Amino acid sequence: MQANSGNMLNKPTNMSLNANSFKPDYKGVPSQALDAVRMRLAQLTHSLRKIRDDLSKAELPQWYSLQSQLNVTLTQLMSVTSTLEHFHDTLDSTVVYPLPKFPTTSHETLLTTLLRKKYTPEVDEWIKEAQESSGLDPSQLNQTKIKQVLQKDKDCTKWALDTFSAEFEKYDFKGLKTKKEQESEDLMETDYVPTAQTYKPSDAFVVEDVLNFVYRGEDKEDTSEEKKEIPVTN
Amino acid sequence: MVQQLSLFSSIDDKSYDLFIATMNTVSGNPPILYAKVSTVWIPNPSLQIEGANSKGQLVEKTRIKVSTDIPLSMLQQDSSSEPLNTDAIDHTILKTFQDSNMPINFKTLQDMMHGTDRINDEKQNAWCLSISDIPAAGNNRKVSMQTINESILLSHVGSNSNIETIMNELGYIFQYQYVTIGTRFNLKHNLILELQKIWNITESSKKQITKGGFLIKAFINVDKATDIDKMNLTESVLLNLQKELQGYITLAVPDRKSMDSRLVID
Repeated sequence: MQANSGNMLNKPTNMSLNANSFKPDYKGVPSQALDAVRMRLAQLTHSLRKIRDDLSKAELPQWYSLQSQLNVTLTQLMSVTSTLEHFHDTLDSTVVYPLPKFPTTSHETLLTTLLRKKYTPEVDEWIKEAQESSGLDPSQLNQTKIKQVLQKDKDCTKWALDTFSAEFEKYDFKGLKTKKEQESEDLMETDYVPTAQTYKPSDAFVVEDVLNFVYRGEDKEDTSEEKKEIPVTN
Repeated sequence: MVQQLSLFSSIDDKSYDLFIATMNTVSGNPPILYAKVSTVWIPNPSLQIEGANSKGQLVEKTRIKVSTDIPLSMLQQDSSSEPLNTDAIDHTILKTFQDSNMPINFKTLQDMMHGTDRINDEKQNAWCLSISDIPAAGNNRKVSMQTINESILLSHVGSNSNIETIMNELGYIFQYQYVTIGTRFNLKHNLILELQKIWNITESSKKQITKGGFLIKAFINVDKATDIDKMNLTESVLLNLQKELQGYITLAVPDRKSMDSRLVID
């Protein structure tokens, strides 16, 4: 598939030289894929720039605002990755070339940067580091081995994710109570109620029953007039 | 003759400590332990008592309560072993009397009544005679108001004289008796708050009437029922206490019929 990203490269030229002599064909440009990636990258760079600015301030913002910003940035990063993944086939097979009217001489640096196919030195460095730390010898790798390694890596990632989410479940990061307190809430409340009851006295008997006895000798459980029969001494 | 304005309540045994601490704080005075025996006497049914006086007014037969204090040393459970130290006895002793069992027995009380007990041998054995009317009627009474006539009997003479002979000579015979052990708080304006445990002591048994708790009685005695200002002031003092303890204990006016010591007319 052949495509043309001339619309990008056309911009800096601003020249109408030979405008009629060459009609570029824009049909093959995967504009949908490029637009999607462009938008997400714009968001991501914006977020990253904001974090960098925030961190370079004399007074650091509150930790929670930094954390939420970081969360947003990570989401955007994930979005970029998934978009790239989604348009992987299209983007991978797209070849970029300059239009004839591009001022190659005056904008050589830009052109070489844009058309560069080799990794930039940093990226090369990262790849090298990754290879070294993986402990694998690229020369000895065949297809099955790579699959094995990838599978192992996936398993490891899966385990890490599961462990993380399991641990995450155990804590509550919002609200006023920890997960533990929430779970033991019922128990704590039942513990609390009896103490409230003991602090407030309860009636042990009916006052009138006692007074009936005090004033007339009437016993609640012994209403027979037995006591009046108590022997008259003398 | 005094007017006794009172409010009653009750608490359970478990609340005793906290209530003592509360009242100690409210009153600013320490709790005072006291014990007394009350004997109740009724007119001798074998005597012919006219139901009207010389003016033709109705005369109701009323019980007389005769009471005296019990030395605190008698409250010790095993008084035989240790030399009696009454200073060591304080309000906490009430916590040991949760059931019907208590150290004072029928024999001791009989001895006290007959003047033959060893403890009161040397002392003047003073008895308090009191007759109480049924509390004042009225639906919207905020406090119980009762007229009480009291007299103190300091000494008696004659051979073989004791409280029982005196009462018998007055035409009264013994009906029942009870022992009150309690804690008393003296508050401002002559307001007295008592926590009482009451035992019915008969020859054969002892029974705690206030089992499981304490009777709370808050009262003020007013000398003259005609002193309206004093009565009103006293009533408001009691109501203030009621308000202060609101939500903790409920001081209330008991059914006036329960405080009626008159004999049932038959």
